[in-house]
Amino acid sequence: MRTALQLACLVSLAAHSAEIPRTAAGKPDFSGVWQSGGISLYGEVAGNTRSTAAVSKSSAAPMLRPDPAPYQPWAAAKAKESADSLVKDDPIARCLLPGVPRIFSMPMPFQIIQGSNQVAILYEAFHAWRIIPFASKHPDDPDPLFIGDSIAHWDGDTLVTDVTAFNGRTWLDGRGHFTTPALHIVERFQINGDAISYESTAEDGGVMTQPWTTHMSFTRLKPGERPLEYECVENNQDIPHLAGPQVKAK
Amino acid sequence: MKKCLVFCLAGVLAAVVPAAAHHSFAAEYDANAPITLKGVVTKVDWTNPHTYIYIDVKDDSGNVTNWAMEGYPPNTLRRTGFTRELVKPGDAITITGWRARDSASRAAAREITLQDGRKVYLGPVAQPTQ
Repeated sequence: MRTALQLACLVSLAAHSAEIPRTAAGKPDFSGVWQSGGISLYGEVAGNTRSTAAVSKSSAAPMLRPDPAPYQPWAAAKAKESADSLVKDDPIARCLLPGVPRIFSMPMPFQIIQGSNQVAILYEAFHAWRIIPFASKHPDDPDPLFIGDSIAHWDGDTLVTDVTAFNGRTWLDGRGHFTTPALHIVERFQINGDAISYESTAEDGGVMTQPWTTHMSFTRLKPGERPLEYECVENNQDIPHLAGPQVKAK
Repeated sequence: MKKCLVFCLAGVLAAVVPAAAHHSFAAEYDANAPITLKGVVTKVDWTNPHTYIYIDVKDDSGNVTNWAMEGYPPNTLRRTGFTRELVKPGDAITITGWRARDSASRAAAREITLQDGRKVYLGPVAQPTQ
């Protein structure tokens, strides 16, 4: 474990020595096609694939999550119940859209298209997309959504988004951490060459006792790679098979 | 250094906690029930959220069972060089994986040995707890 940590640090330091790509206006340029978890996808060796930039597998990260989640006792009990039943009630198993930040943890590419007035994020996973204007306030009375309503601003070289108007039907991760419509997310993106450091702070007075910050890192994919179609409901055979008799007997 | 810690620790976790794209492995498949099957491909579903390869497997008594073997989504396979024509109905293959918890003829696939002896991955490694 210690060796792995040292190796990861070396990779990280190498990443941090890279320059920040910038737009003509001098802002950090996040444009490109990215993916969390490298394309080591589900544990495959990155070198076996043709899509990732030359970044070590150890630099890829689904999510860094402090434990335990700061959930209220009743909410923690409910999340544990989901985890103990092998998360058979996970909304995305029904092909429902993952919210923020979980959508970034999907092992599929996403593309960032950055303009001076807005940023678009196009995710392969679940056909999700976000159009994020640089704005000081959200629209009045937005409808609640799986992906919420996002606005952005700059904090130095950090791209910051504020996300509200969630519908309370998404999980923050794959461990049963459900949410309510009170969910409010602040995301912070920092770029270093071919890596993005991502931080998400969730506040949800409906289930949490305090804000919960998690981290991921994203790897730039090779030129020519792009998000493709992922129509989840096309052939979703899994639902009747989730958590079969052996689990129910426990 | 704080940033480094974030990248580093996240990287270490990545090695042991691959993200699931659609459903928990353990919710459907038993990581303690590995299986190796030899048979003839009857159908290929090049579909989302999973590909499926169906194979007829004959037991010692000559009875034939058609197995459904679940794999990565098509885009993931394409990115590893596994294209939709690589495995076709009629091909004789060997395939490894893990049995479904609730079905006698369903499994999560891992490695296919093709007719020409090449080995390719159809699906992920087993995840016992997620």
